[in-house]
Amino acid sequence: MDCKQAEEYLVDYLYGELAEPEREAFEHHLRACPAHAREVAQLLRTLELFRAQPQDEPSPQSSSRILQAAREQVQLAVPARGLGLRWLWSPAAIAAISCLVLVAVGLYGYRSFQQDQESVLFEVPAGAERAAPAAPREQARPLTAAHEPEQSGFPGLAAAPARAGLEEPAPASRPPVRRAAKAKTEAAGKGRAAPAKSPTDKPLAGVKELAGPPLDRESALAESAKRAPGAARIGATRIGAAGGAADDRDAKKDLAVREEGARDEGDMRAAAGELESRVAEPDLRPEDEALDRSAERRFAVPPPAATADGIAAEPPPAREKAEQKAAVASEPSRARKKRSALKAAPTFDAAPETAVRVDAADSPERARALLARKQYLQAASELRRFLARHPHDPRAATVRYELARVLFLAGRCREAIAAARQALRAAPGHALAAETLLDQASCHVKLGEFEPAIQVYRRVERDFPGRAAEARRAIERLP
Amino acid sequence: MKRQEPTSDESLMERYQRGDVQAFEALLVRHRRGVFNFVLRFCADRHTAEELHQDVFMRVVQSAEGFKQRSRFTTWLYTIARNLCIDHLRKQKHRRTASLDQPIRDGETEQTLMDRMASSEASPDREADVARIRSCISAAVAELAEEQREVFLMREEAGLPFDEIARIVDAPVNTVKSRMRYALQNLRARLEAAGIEP
Repeated sequence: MDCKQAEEYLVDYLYGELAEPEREAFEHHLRACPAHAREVAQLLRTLELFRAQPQDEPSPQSSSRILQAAREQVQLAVPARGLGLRWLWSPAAIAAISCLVLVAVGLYGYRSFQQDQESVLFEVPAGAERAAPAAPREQARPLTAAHEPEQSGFPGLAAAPARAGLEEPAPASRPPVRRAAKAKTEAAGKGRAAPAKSPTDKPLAGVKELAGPPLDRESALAESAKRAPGAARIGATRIGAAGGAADDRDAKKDLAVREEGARDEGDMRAAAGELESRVAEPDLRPEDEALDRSAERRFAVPPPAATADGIAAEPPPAREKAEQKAAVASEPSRARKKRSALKAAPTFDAAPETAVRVDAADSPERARALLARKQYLQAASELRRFLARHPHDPRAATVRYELARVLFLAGRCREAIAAARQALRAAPGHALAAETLLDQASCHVKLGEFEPAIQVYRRVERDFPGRAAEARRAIERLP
Repeated sequence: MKRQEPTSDESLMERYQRGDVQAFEALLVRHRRGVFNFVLRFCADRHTAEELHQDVFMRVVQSAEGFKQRSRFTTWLYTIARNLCIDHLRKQKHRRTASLDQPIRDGETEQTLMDRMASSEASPDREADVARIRSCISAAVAELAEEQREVFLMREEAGLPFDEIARIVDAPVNTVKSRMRYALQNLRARLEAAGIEP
């Protein structure tokens, strides 16, 4: 082996990765070549020195944050995965369902138009001409509702509207508008029952609980469900997309579709609803929101309009308000009275508390998603919004610390220091306290405020023995 | 008694893809230290390393669905880690790593960190000596060219074989070995200059 060949083998030799014959040849060369022998000895010694250095450990907080994110990710992904619905995410399936949604919306519009025409022929209350277009919107409410779990993180809500709409089929004489309004009300009532469960609960459990007793017509339809199992899935989608017919003739047909969808499990519907939220723009109806105060509360953190990165974009509030006013103004007085009565119904009594829970679940989770995307300032806004609305929420203490951290990462040193002080004042014994103090001290250092930085480091040294060494080293590094 | 084979990273990842969080926890425990030390030595800043280390695993969590069993988990993991480190360094316009050649004003005289380390007499305090060697090694690694540093750290901190490193850095295996050799030679030279005789 000559020197040139030896150079090729040198690194492999250092790492013991040469085959036996090459290793022997290399060692033979080393005996004859003092330059290479010296180099090999020095490089081995360098490696030894490096390997003798102790390894550093990441902070336990970061590991717990990662694990928390892993758990949340699984909770989000399990409903579709657990049901073997991964095929639903394929581009072909999404395209097919998009087409279905478009067709359904088209039919829907056509029926609304027909209803308008018919309402002129029959006796209708004054203003019904203007009210008529609102009916399909209400009937399509399940689509809107199907988006809610995605924002709230409570998958149980997805199944509730469709199920609630089926539990009590409306009498044939009841005008579709009112029937849909009742269905919506029941849906909202049922939907709010779901958040009472802990967000850590398995999503499917929530859905099953909401599914309730079997439907009246379910047994009669079970046979046909067996014959066409796929139809149930499509039915679930159609319920979300079209919502139902506007006239009684179509209502019967639509009821059959609903029941067809209802044969499937509620969680199936949740998955379909979730899919729709991906393939279609969220159809948020300000009119509905104006009529449903609790829904307003639920959407207190504005629901997402799909953006390129999948993060919620806030709708322009002025426009929303104007639309709400217009909707209320255009609503026939009888329908308004009916809705007022429905709002006063007992199902809404429990709404405020549960609605707050849904909302409360929203912001920190969104903030974490934004944090993962390094959108620190947006994450900070979410966290601030949460704290402004739920200062006494059990998670507020952690959120305050998270806010301090996010601001620190965003380079907003002054704000981070203020947030850290607030968090530490509110919950001095929190698990994130030491980490936050270290962040706070770093902020002081960045701002050139060495004296306050030393004070904060000293506090870490005094109060958190586990981080004392780190704080001491940091003090030593200061000028 | 037959020794139980450790579960492979890939099968743990597969389990996590099916919703088993414990499998992910096992992966985290297995790799967090390696990833952390890789990013720490790559960026030479503990705070940044904490952040990047977290980002790496967050990416793993978010992209878990996209992981294909065809490739090795470590290749995927360290590709993410490397990309995040490179992105970070690119964003950071003014690197604040203490350079061994950076002049330090010390009263009337001006000397470099390298000069200071070389001139400092061996301390009777062994702990102080170990700390000095450690900081010297850290500084020397941080001073390596990026392409040498990444190869050196992937091998030494993550224990990846050269062919896997080659896939991660998208270079031929022989090029990777050459970079490794230059990295070792540069480290040796810097340690020697600092009075640490390899």
